[in-house]
Amino acid sequence: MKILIIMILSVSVNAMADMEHQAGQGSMPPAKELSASRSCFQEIAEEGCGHPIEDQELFNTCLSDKISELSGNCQTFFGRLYGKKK
Amino acid sequence: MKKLTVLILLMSLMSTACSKSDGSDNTGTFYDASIYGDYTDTDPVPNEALNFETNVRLINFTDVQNEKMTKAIEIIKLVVATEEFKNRVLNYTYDGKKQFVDNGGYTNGQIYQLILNAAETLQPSKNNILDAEVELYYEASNIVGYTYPNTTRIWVNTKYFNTYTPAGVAHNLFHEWLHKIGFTHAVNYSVSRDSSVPYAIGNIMGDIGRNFL
Repeated sequence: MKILIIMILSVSVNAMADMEHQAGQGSMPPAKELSASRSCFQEIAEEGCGHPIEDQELFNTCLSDKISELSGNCQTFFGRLYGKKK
Repeated sequence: MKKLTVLILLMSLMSTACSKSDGSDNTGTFYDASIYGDYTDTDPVPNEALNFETNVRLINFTDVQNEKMTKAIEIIKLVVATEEFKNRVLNYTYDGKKQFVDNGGYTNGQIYQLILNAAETLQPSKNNILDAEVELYYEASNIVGYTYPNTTRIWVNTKYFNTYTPAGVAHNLFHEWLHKIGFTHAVNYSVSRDSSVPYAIGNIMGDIGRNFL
């Protein structure tokens, strides 16, 4: 009976270990980084491209056309994110 | 004594089954790799990435928590649609080679395609939709979230969820969902575990997701 209890406990511990996952770095980015990305999305929205959440394909097409109109920082930002070049 | 022997045999079989669910033997849980395409980083972002969808049922959420999770789900779609996500998955390197740890025998390009297929082990149609149900719970532990192989549900700990940014939540949700499409990682921490598909691509998701906060 003791052996049986030990076996059951061992299986339970094993199963629990399989379930547990730790992930996620949830802290807010530094204010400078946050403001840089937001201002780039603002810049491209002002060029008439809207935001990618509205229509991803339209945004991509518009971004390709308008990227050269953006500030240098935002050209780099969108270049990295969407692979667009001016 | 005979009964005891049978019981021990049965228990050890059960123990093996639990270990397998963690993926110590991944090959049995995956489809045939040869039927999947393989992307290269010179290919444009495919339409499946631009049109990647989600179908997430939320359980036990307040309005505020719902809003945060909705934003996190939006971030997942935005990130999957980026060139950067594609390139970082395709070019991920471990031990000097373009590969993930615990990759189930798949190349980086095939893993990217598996993500876009979004064929969960329990909902195996390649529907290009991240299907999941997420339940919030509270536990004073260091577990951010967890799931089991035999359920579509993902449990997320409010101890972390409530303090995380939506990008952090997207990171965790994507990590857990990568389990749903069959990827696993070691239970105990090791440097190589960080390069497993759930950890490495979860990190990529969280990292790129910060651009959309």
